[in-house]
Amino acid sequence: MFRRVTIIRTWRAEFLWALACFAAIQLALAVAIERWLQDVRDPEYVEKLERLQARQSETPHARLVLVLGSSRTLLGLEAGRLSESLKDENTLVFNFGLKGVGPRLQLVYLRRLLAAGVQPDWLFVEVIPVLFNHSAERTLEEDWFNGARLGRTEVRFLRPYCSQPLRLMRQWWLGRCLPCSIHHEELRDFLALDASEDGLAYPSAMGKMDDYGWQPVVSTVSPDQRQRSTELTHRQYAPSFRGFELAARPAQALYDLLKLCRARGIRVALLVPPEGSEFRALYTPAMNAGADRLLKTLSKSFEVPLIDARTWVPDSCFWDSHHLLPDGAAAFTTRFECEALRPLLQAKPSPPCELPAD
Amino acid sequence: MLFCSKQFFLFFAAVFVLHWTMPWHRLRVVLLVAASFYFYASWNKWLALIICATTCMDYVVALGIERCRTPLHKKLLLGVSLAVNLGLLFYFKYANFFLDSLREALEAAGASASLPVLQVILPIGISFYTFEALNYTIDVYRGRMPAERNILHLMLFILFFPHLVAGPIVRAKDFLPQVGRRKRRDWPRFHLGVQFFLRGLFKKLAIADRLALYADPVFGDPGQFGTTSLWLATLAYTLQAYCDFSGYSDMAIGAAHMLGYKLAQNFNLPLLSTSISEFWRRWHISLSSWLRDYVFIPLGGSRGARWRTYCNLFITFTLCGMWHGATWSFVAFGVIHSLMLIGHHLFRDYCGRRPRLDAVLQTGTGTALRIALTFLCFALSLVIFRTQTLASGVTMLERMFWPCDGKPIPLYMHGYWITVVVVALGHALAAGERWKDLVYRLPVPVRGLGYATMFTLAIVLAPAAGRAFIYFQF
Repeated sequence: MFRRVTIIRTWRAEFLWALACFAAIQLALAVAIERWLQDVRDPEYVEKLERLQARQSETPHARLVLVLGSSRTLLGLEAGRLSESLKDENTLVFNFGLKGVGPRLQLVYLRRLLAAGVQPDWLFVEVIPVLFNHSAERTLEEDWFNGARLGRTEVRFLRPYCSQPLRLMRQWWLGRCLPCSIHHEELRDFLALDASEDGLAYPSAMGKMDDYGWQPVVSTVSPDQRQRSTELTHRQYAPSFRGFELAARPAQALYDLLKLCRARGIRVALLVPPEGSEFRALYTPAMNAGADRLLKTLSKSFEVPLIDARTWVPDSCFWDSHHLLPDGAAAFTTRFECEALRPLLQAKPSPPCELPAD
Repeated sequence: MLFCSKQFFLFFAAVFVLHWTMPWHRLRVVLLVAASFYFYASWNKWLALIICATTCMDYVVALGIERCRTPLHKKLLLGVSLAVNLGLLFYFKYANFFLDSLREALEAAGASASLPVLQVILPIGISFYTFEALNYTIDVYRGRMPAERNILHLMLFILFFPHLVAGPIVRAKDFLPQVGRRKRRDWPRFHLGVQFFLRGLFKKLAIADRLALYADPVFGDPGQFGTTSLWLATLAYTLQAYCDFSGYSDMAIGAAHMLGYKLAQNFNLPLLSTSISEFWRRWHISLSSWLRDYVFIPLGGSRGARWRTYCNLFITFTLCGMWHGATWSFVAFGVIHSLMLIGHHLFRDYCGRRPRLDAVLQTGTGTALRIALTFLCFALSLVIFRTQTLASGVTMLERMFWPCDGKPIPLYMHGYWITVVVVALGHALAAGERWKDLVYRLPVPVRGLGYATMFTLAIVLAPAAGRAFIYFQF
C-alpha cells in the first residue's frame, strides 16, 4: 500500500513537472520569437528585408523604389528587370509584396521598414478596392490576418484599425501560448528541415524568390487548372462583392500610411494591380463607384498619382484571374515601367500641400 | 479523425473525463459504445451503421451456436457469420480487384467483356474489425469462450475506438472479460497509457511523417531517381512503415490503458529480428497470430509432411498479403514473404545438420549479419508493397541493383540522417532492456522535462501536411 502511494505520488510529480516544463518551453520559445527570432515569427518579411538590404548594400547610393503589396505584387512584378533597366539612373526597384497584405498590414510593414533604417525614395502602394468594402462582419484583409506574426506593440497599434480586435488579440495570444504548434512550420524552416536543394520548402507551387523580391509561380497552368483556380477565387471573394459600404478602418490605415509618407518625405503612388475580366465582372456598379471615389479622393488630397492597371494584362496571363503567371508578370512589368515608373521618376516633386482632415 | 489531430485530443479528453466521472459501470460502457460509434461515424455514418448491423448479427449467431445441440446447426450458423462478414469484406475490398483482373485476363485472351465497375467506398478498418468478429464467432463455435449475453459488450469489443480502424486485432476472449469488470481509477495505469500515447505520437509525427517526405517523391516516380536515392528512399519507407504502424498501435494501447482497458502488444522490435520467421512473431503480432490460429493451424499447420507445411505457409502468407490490399502488389508481397519463410525453414534445417555453421551464426557477428539480412529482405519486400503497381516495383528493384543515374532526393539530407540515427538509438536502448532502469533512475524533474521535450518535438517536427496512418487503408 505504501509502495502504491509512493508510485502514485511519483507519477503525479512527474506529470506536474512535465506540464511545468512544457509551459516553460513554450514561454522560452514565445520570448525568443517575440524578441529575437523575427525570422520564425514572420519569415516572409525577414527574407524580403534581407534581400532588400543586400541589394542596397550593393548600390548604397541608389534611389530606392519600393512596391508594397500583397501576393498580387509578389507574383506580378519583376523588380529585378526594372532595376536593370534603370541601372543607369542609379535606381533600385524592389518588390515588397507579401501574401495576405492589405492596407493595415502595409502600414505595419512600412513602419517596420522605417524602423529598420529603410527609407524609400518612392513607394508604390498596392490598392485592391474590394479590401475597402465592409460587406461582412469583417473585411477580407482581417480574414487573412495572422496575429501570431506580429509583435506585441504592433498588435496594440493595429487594434484601432480592426473591426474585430479581439480576434487579432486571440491569434497573437495563441501564437505566444503555443508557439510550438502555431509556428511549427517556421521553426522547421529555421532548422532547414523541410528545405530542398533549391531552397524551397517542399512541396511548393511557387518558385524561388529572386534577389529583387519577385516570386513567380513555377509552372504553367492548364485550362482546367485555371478554371478550378478561378472558381476558388470566386468562392473566396464573392461574399465581399455584395453591395458596397466603405470600410472606415482600412481607409483610415491607407490615409495614415500616406500621412506617414508625407511626413517622412517619401513620394507615393497608388497602384491598382491587374485583374482578369472574370474578377472584374464581380464588381457591382456600387462597388466600382465607391472604390473609385475613395481612391480619387485620397489621390487628390495627398496629390499622389493613381495608376489603375486593372485592364493592362490579358486573361490568358492570369493563374486564377487575379494572380499573374510569369508571362503576365513580364507584360505587366514592361507596361508599368513605360506608363508609370519612368514618367513618375522623371517628374519633379510638387511642393507639399496642407494635409486634409481625417 | 486521426489520433494526432486536435479534434481527437478534444474528443478523447471529453470521453476520458466523462468516463471516469461516471460512477456506474454500465453507463461507462454505453458511453464508450456511443463515443466509438461517433468516432467511426465522423468518417461515414452509413458504414458505421453497417458495422453495428453485422455486430448484431454476430451476437445472435453466437447465442444460437451456443444453444444449438447439433454440430450441423452450429456449423450452419457459423457459416452464416463467415458468409456475411467475409462477404462484406469481399464486396467492399476485393470485388473491383477481381472484376478488373478478370477483365484483363479476358482481354489478354482476346475476348472482350463488359464487366461492371462497382462504386464502393472502402470502410476504414474493415479488415481489422472483420477479423475480430470472425475470431469471436469461431471461438464460440470451438467452445473456447461463452457467447456474450450483453449486446453492448459485444458492440464495444468491435467498435472500441482505440483499435477500431487500425488494430491491434483484439481477441474476444481477452477483451470481453475486461468489459464486464468494473473499472477503478488506476493512476499508474493512466501513467502507462500516457507514456504509450506519447511514444506513439512521437513515432508518428516526428519520425514516420518526416521520413515520408523523403520516400514519397521517389516511390511516386522511381524511374526519375538514381540508385542511391532509391536505396535511401527504401530505408526511409521501411522505418516510416514501422514507426507509423507501431506508433498507431502505441497510441491505441495508450488510449485504451487510459480508459482502463488492456490491448495486446502488436510490435516487439521487429527490425531487430534475426530471421523472417522471428520477424513475423514480432511484426503486427495480432495479425500473424490470428492467421496462425485461424488459417495456418486449421490447414494443418506444421503437422504432416514438410511439403504440406510449405503449402500451408504459402497459402497463409498469400492471404496475409491480400489482407493488406486488393492489388497484385500486395499479393506479390504475401507470396514473397511466404517464399522467404519457406526458404528460412529450409536453411534452418540445413544449419541444423551443420553445428559449426550454426555456432558461427549464433556469434555476435553472425547475429548482426542475420539481423541485417532480415532487415534487407523486409525492406526490399516493401518496395513491392509501396509502389503503385507491380511493374513500377520491379522497375524500382532493377534500378536499385543495376547502378543508374537519376535525380537526387529533393530535400536536404541532414534531417534524414538525424531521424535514422534517432530510430537506431531508440532500438539500441530498447533492445538492451535497460532503458526502463535508466529512465526510472533519472530525477523526476528530468523525466518530466523529457516528456515535455518529446511532446514539443512531436508537434514541431510533424510536417505541414498531416498524413493518415498507412494501415488505415487496410
